[in-house]
Amino acid sequence: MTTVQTRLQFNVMKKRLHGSKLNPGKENAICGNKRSSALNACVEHGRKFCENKHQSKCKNYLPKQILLLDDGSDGDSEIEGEMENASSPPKCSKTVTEDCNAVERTGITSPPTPSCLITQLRLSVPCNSAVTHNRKHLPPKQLFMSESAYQEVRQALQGCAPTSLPGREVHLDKLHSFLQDHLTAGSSGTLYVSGPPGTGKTACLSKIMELPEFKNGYKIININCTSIKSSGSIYARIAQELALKVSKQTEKNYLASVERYLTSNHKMILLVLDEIDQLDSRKQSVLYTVFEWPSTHNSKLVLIGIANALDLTDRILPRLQARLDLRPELLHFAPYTKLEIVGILSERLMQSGVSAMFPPAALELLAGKVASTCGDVRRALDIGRRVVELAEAQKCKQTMPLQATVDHAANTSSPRKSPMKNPDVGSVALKEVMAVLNGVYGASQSLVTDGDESFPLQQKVLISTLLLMLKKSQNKDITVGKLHEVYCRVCKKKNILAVDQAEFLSLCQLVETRGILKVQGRKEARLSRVCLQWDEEEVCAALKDKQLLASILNDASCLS
Amino acid sequence: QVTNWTPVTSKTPKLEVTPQASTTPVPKKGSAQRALLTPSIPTRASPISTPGSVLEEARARLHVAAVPKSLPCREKEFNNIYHFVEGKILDGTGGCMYISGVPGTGKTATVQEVVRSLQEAVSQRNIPDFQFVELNGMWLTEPRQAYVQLLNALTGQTVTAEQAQQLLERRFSRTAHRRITTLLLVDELDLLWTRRQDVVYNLLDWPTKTSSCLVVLTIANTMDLPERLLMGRVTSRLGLTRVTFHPYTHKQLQEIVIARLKGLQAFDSDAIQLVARKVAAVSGDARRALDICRRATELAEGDTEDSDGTVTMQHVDQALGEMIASAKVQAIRYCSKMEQLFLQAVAAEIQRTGVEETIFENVYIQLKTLCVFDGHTVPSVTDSLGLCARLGSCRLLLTEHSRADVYQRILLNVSCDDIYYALKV
Repeated sequence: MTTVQTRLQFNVMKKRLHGSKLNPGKENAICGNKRSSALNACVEHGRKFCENKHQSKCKNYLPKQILLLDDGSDGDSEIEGEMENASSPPKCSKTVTEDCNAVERTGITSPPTPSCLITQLRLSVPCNSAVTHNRKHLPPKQLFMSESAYQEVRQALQGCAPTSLPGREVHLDKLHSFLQDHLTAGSSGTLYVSGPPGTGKTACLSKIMELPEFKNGYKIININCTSIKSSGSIYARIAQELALKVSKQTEKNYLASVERYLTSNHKMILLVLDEIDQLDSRKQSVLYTVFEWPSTHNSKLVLIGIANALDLTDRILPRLQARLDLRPELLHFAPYTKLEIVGILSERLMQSGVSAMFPPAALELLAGKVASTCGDVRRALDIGRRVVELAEAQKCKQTMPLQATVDHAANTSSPRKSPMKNPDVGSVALKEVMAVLNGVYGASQSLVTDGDESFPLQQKVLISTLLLMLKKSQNKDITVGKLHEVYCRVCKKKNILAVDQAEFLSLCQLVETRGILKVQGRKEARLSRVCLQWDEEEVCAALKDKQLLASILNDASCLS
Repeated sequence: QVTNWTPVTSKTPKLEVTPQASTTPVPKKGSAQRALLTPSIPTRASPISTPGSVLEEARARLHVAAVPKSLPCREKEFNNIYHFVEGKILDGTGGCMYISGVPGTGKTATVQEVVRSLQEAVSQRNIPDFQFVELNGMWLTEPRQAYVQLLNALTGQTVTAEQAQQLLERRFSRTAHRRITTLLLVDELDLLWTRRQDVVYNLLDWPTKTSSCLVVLTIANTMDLPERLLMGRVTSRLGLTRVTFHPYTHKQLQEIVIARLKGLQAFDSDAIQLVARKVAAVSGDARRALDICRRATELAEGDTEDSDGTVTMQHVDQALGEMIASAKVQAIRYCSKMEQLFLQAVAAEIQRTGVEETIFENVYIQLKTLCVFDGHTVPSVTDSLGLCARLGSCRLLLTEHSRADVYQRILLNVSCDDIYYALKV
């Protein structure tokens, strides 16, 4: 009995969604007749839609939808009373209107959404258990997945697990041939993979390791060196991965057992050490030990080390160059170029069918900017996601302007869920891309672009005083004490109440958090040095208060 | 067992006592580790008295700990963070966000408000459920303890840092069937910094895994912390989603105080404005403004006879004088005559040489001159060393250890102007 009860409650909730969907604005004025007719229309609609899209990718949830629709075409009047006084959650109403509209326009950018169809669930007792089974196991996520094309784009630009790696074919080939050669010959080898962050090193390797021939041919040990406590405990970790039994748990014992295993008869081992520069220790003994393993007699070990530094093996492991059999092969991942980043982004967008969102010009702008600074694809994806989020927020603002509410409850329902939202999804504009890029690449600009005057006056005076001392004073060695003295004189001239010394130090630290200056040597507060971190022009631009700055800078009499 | 025990029958009391001492605490500790017992503190005997007068009510509302239902003047940041987290929860993916701003600008309060709003949305079934875990760099004795705390919050078991790290690694890299999003708030991120930066790396690397469903919000003060402190690969993982909280302007501070005092006629509106302007000029710290208002309320409560139960300009002025006080001038003023002369001597010596640092020997010569000039008896070297040590202990001077005797170096810890100001005025 209890199970029936719970199911009933579930359905009532669904009915609520359904009711609100039909009449987004006026829930009170639902009359049974009208509603049922509208419902039938909607059912028809859904069916047509299903038939149209039968070959498309939505087919996995089609069968059960049809089942549900067929089985519940009657008995919607039973719960009318409950429905009418139930106010609907705003979100569901929005999705439904949006979906219907999207279908009508046939500009199908988003796949058919389960929430469109699932809202037509009936309260009536299901005739067979299969249906209930299906209904129970609908993952809760899918009810909400149908937000908009924005969400699709966001998911497409998610930073993780690329299925394909455009622009990295050469490296993949090289890795493949390296591993293949060693596998067929049964010989050991060392490869050092380098490249700046976000260039697909780990992704390439994990893709290669997924291949069946290597998965079966090698015993793969994949360790991220940041996950171990200290460099010495890498042996314990390897021993654990090899499932070795060690009597006394010391570093020495682990090393001995690993080496014993390596010299014994075993399968080919592929040891992948990610972020290998974490293993540095005094005299680099750990790294030397690890890199020497492949050269020991009859060890069938292929070692692949990954790190950021281009010349790690040459710089900190010079002894490896001495012997030919120890010298690792090098593979460098260059930063992505502009074309490659464009390729990656557009392919990801293409795969999820939302390439219309990003116009090519915006994509090129983004890629060019990223490629010119770091060539980090993670960064490019992040900026892309940010742009989409910004565009979505803009859209929300257009449909329903945000107002500052003191009411707590009003804050909870986000404006994105407003029922009158325009379901038509536009593409992102160049303007938004520029806004995100500016926010990212100009620390000082982010201060400038912020409209309101959120730079406290005393901090402005402090920075102006520092500039004055740097420009006019002979002694460029500025301590906090000296700065405070000059600052007090400036304040006296300007009729500003000067803060005292202890407060002044905290003022310096507040400015320091903006990155404008740096206070060095914290032992004695008064004697710590103050250095300007930014360019003077940049600081002037950030201050904006040209008048104050000019008047302080012109008055060199404050200096002595 | 203790009640049964009598000194006559038992010849070996040790045997009775030892099992209690050795065995009983162990299961208790073990059960505490498995989180079967919730830690509790003793309750108070009598209930707290509810605030009676208007001023008491105002004082209670102005307390920093009384987080209001909504945060005025932070709507933009609220929406920014809310949309980010909501989007991640709806998508079922992970991500990182970096939130920065100077102290007292409402960073943590806004994030907690976001979490509360999201939990409300969950209870209304608007978004899927999620799990919220909070970490603070200040709570941890050591950065690696972050793993222990995180695992404890997720599963309730307490293990060592290394084990916790492995368990978490396994949890986040393995695909689970019905995993809900974990929202992790890391406050004071800069305290998790280590030389290897492995803790920060791991915390930011887990969200990049497909199956982790981990959203990490990191909070720190410094605007450019990722560029300044963190390695390239950590910065790359932290991403570019950043929110900066700017210091409050005087209008915003005024609004905050008024919002707290809504419906109470306790404050003069000019008084609030004075506080807001003073604080906004220096730091824009909301905590500070609230503290000054509280202090003004206390002062107003103190003198009930000549006021009409509201906080006026005088009280605020007095509170500001206490809060933004320059204690050093006062200290110089209350020094003994010889100490004042000694300070003057140091200042004169600095002026003569033009170097900040002097030796006691030279100061003593100046002191002798000053004493002769003013007609005081010249103190002996030993007495002067005593003076110097006293001034050093109240940090008006910075002195070396007195072992160096007359050759000890002396630095002035107040500006010369302060000394003149204190002694002339």
